[in-house]
Amino acid sequence: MTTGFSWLTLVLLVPILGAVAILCTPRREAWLIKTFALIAALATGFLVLGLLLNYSQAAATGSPISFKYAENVQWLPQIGASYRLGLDGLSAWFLALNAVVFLLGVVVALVRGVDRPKLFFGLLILTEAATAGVILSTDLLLFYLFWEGMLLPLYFLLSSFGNEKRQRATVKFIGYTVAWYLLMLLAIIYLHTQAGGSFSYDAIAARQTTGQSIITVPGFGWKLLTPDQFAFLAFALAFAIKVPLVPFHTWLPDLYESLPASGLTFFAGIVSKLGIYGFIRYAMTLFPKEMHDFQGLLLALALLSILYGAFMALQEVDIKRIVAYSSISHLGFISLGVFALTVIGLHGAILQVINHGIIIAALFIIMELIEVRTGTRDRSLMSGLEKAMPWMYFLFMITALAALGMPGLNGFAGEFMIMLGAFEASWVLAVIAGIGVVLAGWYMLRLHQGLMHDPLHKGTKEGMTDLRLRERWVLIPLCAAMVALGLFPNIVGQLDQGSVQQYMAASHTQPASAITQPTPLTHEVHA
Amino acid sequence: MSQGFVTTVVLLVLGFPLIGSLINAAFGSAKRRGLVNIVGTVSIGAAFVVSAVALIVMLTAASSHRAVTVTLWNWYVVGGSLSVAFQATLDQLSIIMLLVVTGVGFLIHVYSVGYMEHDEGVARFFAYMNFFVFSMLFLVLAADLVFLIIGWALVAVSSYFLIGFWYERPSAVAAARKAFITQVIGDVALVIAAFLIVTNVMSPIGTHIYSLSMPTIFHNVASFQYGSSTVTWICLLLAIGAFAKSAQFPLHTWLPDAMEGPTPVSALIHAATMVTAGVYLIARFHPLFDRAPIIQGLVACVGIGTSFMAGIIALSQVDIKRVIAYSTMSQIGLMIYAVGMGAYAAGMYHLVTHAFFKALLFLGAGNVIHAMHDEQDIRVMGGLGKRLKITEKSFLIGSLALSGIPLFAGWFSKENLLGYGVLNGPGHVALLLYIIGVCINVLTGLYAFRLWAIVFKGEPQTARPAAAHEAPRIMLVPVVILAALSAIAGFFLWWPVAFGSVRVQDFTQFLSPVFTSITSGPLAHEPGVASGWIGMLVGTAMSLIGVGGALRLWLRREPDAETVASRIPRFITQLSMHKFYFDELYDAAIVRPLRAVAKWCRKLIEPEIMDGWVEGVGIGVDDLGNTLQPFQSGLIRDYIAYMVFFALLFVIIIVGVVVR
Repeated sequence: MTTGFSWLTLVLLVPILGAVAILCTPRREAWLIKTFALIAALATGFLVLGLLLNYSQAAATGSPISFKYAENVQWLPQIGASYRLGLDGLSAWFLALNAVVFLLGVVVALVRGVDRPKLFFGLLILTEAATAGVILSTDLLLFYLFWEGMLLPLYFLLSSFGNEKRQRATVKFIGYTVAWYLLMLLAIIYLHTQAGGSFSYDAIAARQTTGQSIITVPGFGWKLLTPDQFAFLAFALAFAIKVPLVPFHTWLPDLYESLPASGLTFFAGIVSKLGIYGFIRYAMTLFPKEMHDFQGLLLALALLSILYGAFMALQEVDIKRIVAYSSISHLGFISLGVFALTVIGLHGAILQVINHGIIIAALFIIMELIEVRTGTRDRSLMSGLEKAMPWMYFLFMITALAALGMPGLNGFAGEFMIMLGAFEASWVLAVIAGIGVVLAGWYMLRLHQGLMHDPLHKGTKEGMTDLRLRERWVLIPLCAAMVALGLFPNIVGQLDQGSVQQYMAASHTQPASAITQPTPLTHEVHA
Repeated sequence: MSQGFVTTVVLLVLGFPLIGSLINAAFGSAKRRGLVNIVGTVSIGAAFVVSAVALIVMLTAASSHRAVTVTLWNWYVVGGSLSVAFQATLDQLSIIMLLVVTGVGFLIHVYSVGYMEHDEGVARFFAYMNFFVFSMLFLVLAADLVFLIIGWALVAVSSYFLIGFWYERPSAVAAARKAFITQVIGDVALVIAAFLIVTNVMSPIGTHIYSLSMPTIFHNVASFQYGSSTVTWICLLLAIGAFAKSAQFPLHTWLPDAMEGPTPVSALIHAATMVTAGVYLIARFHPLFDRAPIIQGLVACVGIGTSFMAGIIALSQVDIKRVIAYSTMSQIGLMIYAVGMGAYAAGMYHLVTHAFFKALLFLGAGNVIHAMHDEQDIRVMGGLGKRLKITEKSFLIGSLALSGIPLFAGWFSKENLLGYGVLNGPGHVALLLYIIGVCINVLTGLYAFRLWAIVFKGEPQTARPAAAHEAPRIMLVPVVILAALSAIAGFFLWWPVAFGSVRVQDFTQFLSPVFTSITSGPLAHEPGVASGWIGMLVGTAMSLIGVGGALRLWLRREPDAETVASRIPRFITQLSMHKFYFDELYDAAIVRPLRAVAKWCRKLIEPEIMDGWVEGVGIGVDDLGNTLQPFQSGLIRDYIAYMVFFALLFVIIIVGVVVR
């Protein structure tokens, strides 16, 4: 039932065409490869921008979540699998972030230089196409194929670029993830049987849940989890590893430490957010009852991530690992917004996904630029860099403030909404998250002040230069976005209104009509 | 006042300092010192002019039409559940804050031109200073909780920049971080207070939409029952935010350290503006505080307690700026006491006069430090009055105003707020607080004149005071203007005057619509100055005792006074010298345990448990493989044996199940 032009397929095809073009280019024509990569990134960016701008006009179909630009082509009718794509208010922002960090990754690679451009850009583009597929697919088999397929280019990307530690880090990451993904596949097959032999998201969401039947071990009377709960846990584990939630996080610091910034902007920017995406799109709506069953556990893990990541960031000496742990803490915040299961919390989580994508990309770029200049990543071997690098100081300051949740910048907008949503669920959540905010202030200042202030460290290299013009122009748009989203977060909020309502409705077991409809508020201003 | 006019005023008042800051940040440098100085000062002067025009327009309006709230843009709207707009308000309270911030701020900026004359970072300095003024104005104009929180935090971050301005000094860097983290604690308290407010206040039309607009909240303040636990919690959290910003116990330790910043910074943010924001916050949220009597009492006690403690500490400090810093903490404590007692206008009145004489004292101290080539230890000064004649006279006026000597500004405001306490407070507790309050008067007189006498009078303790020079004119003019204001402002604000058609009212009457018009249950009654006569007489007497004691001890150096001083128990002097050991206490009770937890996470939890289980699984799989490997022996007889064994096992299980 494809209506109109297949815009979403085009979103997948453009990068793949770019990859093919790069594949056909001889290795020595590096400039051509770079041009192709840039064109692919820009074309994807404009395409996604166009989709977002036309989003409100596009027709929506389906329930419980209505998708726009929907496509549906029969693929394996025997098993009920189709090529189904769709865009909603949730995936629109993930798609936008995907396009932005992809472009950013390409730009950073161009600015910083990359040693095997053909391999790097080819793999980066293929990964981007796979993540776009994960975000757009509305068929669970297709989703799974993209989800697993993403690991393929990612494996080569991670194991071919980065420092000496990368091999071990990559094996850890891949081993960690693949093991649980197979469980998720089993869960998908289970859902397929429950939904009358269809992999379609709509069909599975509409299935009659048989949650009441308890598996008992014959002869013993052991009561185990329901099949739906098993399936939920399989999904939740796969997503929790991807986010990652503590204690499933140990692949992250090693991997982030070894990757170059060009790969990191993309990886930290979008790949780890797909776990959040999975929680909202699949765990929450396909298993509304189970989500409530396990809400306490998930909230505990989110709070643990916030505090644990912050404490680790407070003691770490490697500047890239500090940022890596701060990322764990921030993703704990985003998870908190999702698991609170309130409209405002979910709004905050989606907003914070965008915000964090921008902030973490900027932070990793800055860390790499500092490492290049000082020749070390050891925090205790650096101080007083402000004098030599005023531009670096200024842009790093804005980024660090945004990261620690400074009101007026984008990090606050998301955290405020998340904490308000969590507060609605329970005040305890907001108070513990508040402790995380104070700790964030502490570790971000420890990082920023430690590098920038105090007298210049004695062992510092001679002749450090400030940010060069093109390096500045990578960071300035990011910092401008932090200010803009801090003052006008409604840019994000406007688009996902309807979809968030639908997700929240789907996550409640009662019918959707119970959710309050928008009512205009009249301000009674005291004069 | 029309909406359009107020919007224009808001945009101009915020716009001038912000643009000034951006220009200096982008184009300023030590080579373009002239441009930097002009941009830095004119931007604040322009904001002051706009504020003054706004005041005149406000005075021409009828008193019921003086508060106007404008909506600038929607910050975040969630259909059906949340509506956050950026709203600014111009009313009697915010216009007073605007005038103080821009007026005193302008004088301090002019002074800075001279003070920073030889500093390489002058562009950075003015960019930060302008940004600070912008943040402070942002805060006082806020009419929306998010707007307020943003302003609240912007003030903290710009003070962080300014305290750590000389970033190559490790002590300045540490002080800046300490101040900022204390502020973040206050921010979080404020955010959670905001959550409690929005989830509990009834929306105007009975919907479930959360509104964060302060006029709406105050209008629906009847949602909060008098003395209910909700409003008590809200006010406690608001008070924590206010204490962090106003350096009140137990969040006060950052203020003395913050003296690491340049002296004009101390004058601007640690005397006139930032630290008074807590007083402003409580006054602004008075409809809620009026409903939380327990927290009002707590606020009053904390205020008077901090004031007393700071007064004692100030007596033994030897750094000229730290003495003034503790004096500030003490005076802010009195303001906090006043707003805790429900005397909002009295607290605001003291805020205004204090801004004048405390900025004056800091700038005077700046002249001394300038003349002594960055020396701040008062033990090496002495006799400076002969060399710095104008500074000495101004400093004397500031000290007189601070001590509350009749007809100087501080006398009107301080005796007013203390008198309020004894007349309107409830019973014995109020009387006790009042008695402590008048004891603080003695302390104030003592430390104020101790400082003046040791620095300016007596014989020079070293050769350096003899070589000191008076400050250049650009640093003297602001000092003299502030001295004039410190001398007359109290009287001026007390006395209603009429200029043609523009009617200037007395301060309390001008503010009274803000503090009474909102339907907020039992509102405290403002006494005005006249009804505080008894308090005024007692308070004045105590102030005179303090001043007299100080002059005998440190100016005339009478031997019998020395012996009196030596009879003070040792533990009191020790507490005073060590600032009541709060830094040590917090370090041991909070900072070290948190560091220990973090270290424990890094050294033990992460490698052993978090990573341990993953590695464990890996090792386990390896081991399993190694264990199973021998079974793959390649011998047919082994395989047959396994086959028979498992077939038998299978049969037994099947039979078992069927038989059951």
